[in-house]
Amino acid sequence: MERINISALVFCEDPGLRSDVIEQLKPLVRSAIPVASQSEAIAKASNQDFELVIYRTAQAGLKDPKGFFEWSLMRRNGKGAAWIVLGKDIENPEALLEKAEVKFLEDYKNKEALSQLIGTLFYRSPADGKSAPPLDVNFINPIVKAVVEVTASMGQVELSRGTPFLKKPTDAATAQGDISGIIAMNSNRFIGSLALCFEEQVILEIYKNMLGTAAPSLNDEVKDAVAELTNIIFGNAKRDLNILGHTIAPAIPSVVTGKNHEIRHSVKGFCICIPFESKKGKIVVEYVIATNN
Amino acid sequence: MFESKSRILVIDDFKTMRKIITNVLKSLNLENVVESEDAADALPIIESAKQSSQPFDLIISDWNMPKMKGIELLKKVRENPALANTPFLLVTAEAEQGNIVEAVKLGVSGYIVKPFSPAVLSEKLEAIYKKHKAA
Repeated sequence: MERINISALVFCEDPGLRSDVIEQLKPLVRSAIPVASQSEAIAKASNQDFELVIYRTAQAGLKDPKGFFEWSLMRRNGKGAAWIVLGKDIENPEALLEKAEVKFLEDYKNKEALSQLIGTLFYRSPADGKSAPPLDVNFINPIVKAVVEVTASMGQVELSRGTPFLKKPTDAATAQGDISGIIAMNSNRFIGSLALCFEEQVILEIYKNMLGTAAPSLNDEVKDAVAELTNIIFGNAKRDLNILGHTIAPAIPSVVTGKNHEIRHSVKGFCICIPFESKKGKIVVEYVIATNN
Repeated sequence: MFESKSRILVIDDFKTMRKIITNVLKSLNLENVVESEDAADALPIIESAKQSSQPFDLIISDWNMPKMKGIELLKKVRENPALANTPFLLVTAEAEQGNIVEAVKLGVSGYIVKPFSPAVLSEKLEAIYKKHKAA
């Protein structure tokens, strides 16, 4: 995985946690500056630009970081820095949310969650380092709409969408379900692929509702249904994306199955995942695209 | 509506969609159905049926298939004077404006966008039947 070209200021009094966060950041970002106090931050970082502040404090007097926050917003010639607040014991969080991109990470000891959040905030296409179409809501929304509508109309399964996240690089080839449909997603601007990963119980429910007969397991008939669902969802998303100016070409899906089966995306890069929950289980849509130039 | 003895050819590379369409046809009392996995395989079936005086009364074809696309099959059917008047319904997951215009220009009898409900398919069949009966 390529590092994201940003510098992060890590504000944390606890030396153990500070050290842990710095270690997590090393493979992810260009540089990370550890500081234990506001005065140290100002001394170390006043002459440096940083795009991200990771903030954690347990001291009562520092729980409201408004002054420090205002100072961080003056960085980068006034462009300011994004914030990730570790924990939830910040007073007056609304004041932070009004002025900059602030994310609160309650489960901050979860290394995966922190790396995903950083990726979500700072994703850049690995191919050109400039654009970020995959995390643009205009790109995600047609895919989400197609998944929800097709699953409801054909499978009679209602889905609720979770928060999109980036797949941890070490898990990049492992699916998040029991059966997956994969389809190429190529246009004159990018190349890539999209996968729909179903947990067994939810796809069996969809299959039963689509065809009026139950399948006992993930057999060839269910695989065929997954391929057709992938085809229809892709076709519906493609139609709406192409209306927005993309030129995504038609493609034929394939299916892989089995516990911990691997999804081989057609290009390397960040894998954007969109989770959906239903009463019968989870569906995750994931895609990887790289700029085609 | 098509009579119960009407011969109908359903073409889709996915068994699931063939089964969904066949189930709807059965519910409409249309059980004389032949299935094919690709337009390339379907063309000789259509020609042979015509030659043996058992022509298909309706062709329902998917658009995007690996060997031959449904739109190409439509073109070949319309170019053959013996088959040109066969009712032809295209089923597509894409429904982009350009595709629809192309299909209409080639003389498609109707098109339906996946996902669709049994009621929508039934309405399309009724409309196609009336259109061809009037022609």
